[in-house]
Amino acid sequence: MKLLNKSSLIYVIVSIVIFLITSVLFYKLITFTINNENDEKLKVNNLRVFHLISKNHDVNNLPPIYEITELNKAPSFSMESYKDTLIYDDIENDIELFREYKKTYKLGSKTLQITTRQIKLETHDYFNSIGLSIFISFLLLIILILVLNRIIFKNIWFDFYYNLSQLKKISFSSTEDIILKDSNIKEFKDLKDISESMLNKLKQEYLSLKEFTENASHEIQTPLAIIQNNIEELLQDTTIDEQKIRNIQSIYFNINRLKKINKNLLLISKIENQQFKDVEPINVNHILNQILLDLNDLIHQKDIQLKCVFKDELIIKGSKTLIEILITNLLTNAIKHNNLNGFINIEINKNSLTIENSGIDLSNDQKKQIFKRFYKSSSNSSSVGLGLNIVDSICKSNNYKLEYFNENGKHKFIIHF
Amino acid sequence: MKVLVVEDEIELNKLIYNLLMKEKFMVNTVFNYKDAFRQLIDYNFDVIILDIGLPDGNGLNLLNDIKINHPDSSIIIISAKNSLDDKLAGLDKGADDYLTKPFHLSELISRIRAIIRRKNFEGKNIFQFNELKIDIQSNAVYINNIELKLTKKEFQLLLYFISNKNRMITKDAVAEHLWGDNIDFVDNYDFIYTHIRNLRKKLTEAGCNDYIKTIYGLGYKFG
Repeated sequence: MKLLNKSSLIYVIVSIVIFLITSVLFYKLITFTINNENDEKLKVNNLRVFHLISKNHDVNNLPPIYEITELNKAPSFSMESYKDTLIYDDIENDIELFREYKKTYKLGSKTLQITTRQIKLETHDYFNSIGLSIFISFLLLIILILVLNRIIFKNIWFDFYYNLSQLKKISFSSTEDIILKDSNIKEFKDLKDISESMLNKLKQEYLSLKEFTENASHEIQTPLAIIQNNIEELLQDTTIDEQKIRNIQSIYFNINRLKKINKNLLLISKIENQQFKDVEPINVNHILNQILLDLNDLIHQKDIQLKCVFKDELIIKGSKTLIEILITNLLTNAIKHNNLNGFINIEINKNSLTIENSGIDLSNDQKKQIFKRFYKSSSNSSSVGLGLNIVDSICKSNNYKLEYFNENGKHKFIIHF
Repeated sequence: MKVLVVEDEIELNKLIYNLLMKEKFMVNTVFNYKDAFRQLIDYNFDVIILDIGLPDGNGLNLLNDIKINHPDSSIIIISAKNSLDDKLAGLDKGADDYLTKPFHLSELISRIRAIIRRKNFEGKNIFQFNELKIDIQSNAVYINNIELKLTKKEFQLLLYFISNKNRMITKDAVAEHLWGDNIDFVDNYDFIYTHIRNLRKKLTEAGCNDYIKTIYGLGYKFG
């Protein structure tokens, strides 16, 4: 739930509760006040009637508004009382609720009881009008709060959301710097400062780690060159016996592997550093044909049937070196893991390249790992296990979509450019 | 033929020196920018093998100097940086070739010989070895003056062998020379064998001696 919605919801709930409580209180207060006022009026009217009588005016009864009755027996003390009573009103033709005030007066020897009454407004009438007015004002208040909340949110939280969207974009391998906005709200400023210092620290550590890997790979090149060249010189000696040659052969073979691993790791780090900036329009069809020409011997070696379908001319923008490596790696993979007398189908569409080859099916576990660094389908294979990882790196760094399918002895790689 | 080797790694410098001496070149070696600069003031070289990453200066600057003061010298850059930018900058500034460490010594020799051949092209593009004659400009091979048809790869292979006469060349070096080092063949060199077998067959059938010898299953030697 978004902070805005959460806080709005709380506002609404609290408002409703307050609305209910205040409605009841208000109703109670209003009825209490009105009753008081009424009682006061009844008392005054009662007294007024008595005054008229005491000045010898002839006062007729006006039921149910006032009634004068003579009491035969005088009560021992002056009596007055309020009460609610139901009386049939012939004007309204209905039984109505009246408030009544009774008081006994002594006038000479006579004892008079004067009753004054007033019709009571029905309670639900009060309730309706009071409830409606309170409800409307609260509704307005809630709408106002929600709108205001939204406006305040947009303003106050703007920096926060901006920084959040910036933080989402973080990638240490990208060269783009993350710029966070300063805020005049202390909490947000703290958050920004902490995020920034954390980012800097992480980035520095990432960079130093990366630099180390690169430097290590670079520094390994020269010793490798010296070892390899020394072995090559050693092999020029025709007097060495066969057993020693076997040892040297093993050293030479493994130096070669080291060389390839190192070279490919350097390549991967360069791809991830986006160091291939020579972007130009590239005709994939042409490049593919060129590479196939180079790989022809390998394809023939395994008696592989090659079928190329170029449905369209695929021209993309990118680094020629990288595209060459991408296609070469996919094709050598398709050759290496093919069966004898197998097949390779290549298809170029308007925006995609598909390479399909026959080969042994992989288990689900293996399928997931196929693009992993140093993953090899068989342990006895002397390949380095970086070819498809490089393909993956190139696709990722250029935002190409890479798909892989494997079923019924067919392996299918599709790249959407 | 005079060669200057500018390489700060002592071991590698020695290796290249020994190699070139064996190939009957006249070789001077230096280990840093300053000495290279001095050598270039005193002497002229036909080929300069230049490491870009020197401890006391960038080899690319030396390249500028060579191009101005020794326009006839050919330059092969060797570098541990396999970066395209460096390669382009080097070739842009007038280097004739670029090799990335680690490289095969046979590849270095073949590159040097290619440069020398290019230089001496005027009238001297024919290469004779006993009954074998190669016309490099027209990519033609003659055995006892009868032309022998070879594929492009077979021709490259033969030229590579002849450039490295009497040297054992590993299969790995052959693969890299013919297919570049972008292709990862580590697990299978059979197709090289096929090429060599075809070349050998064509040569012997045309009446040429079998000069290609297989060495311990590791490589080949011509001569």
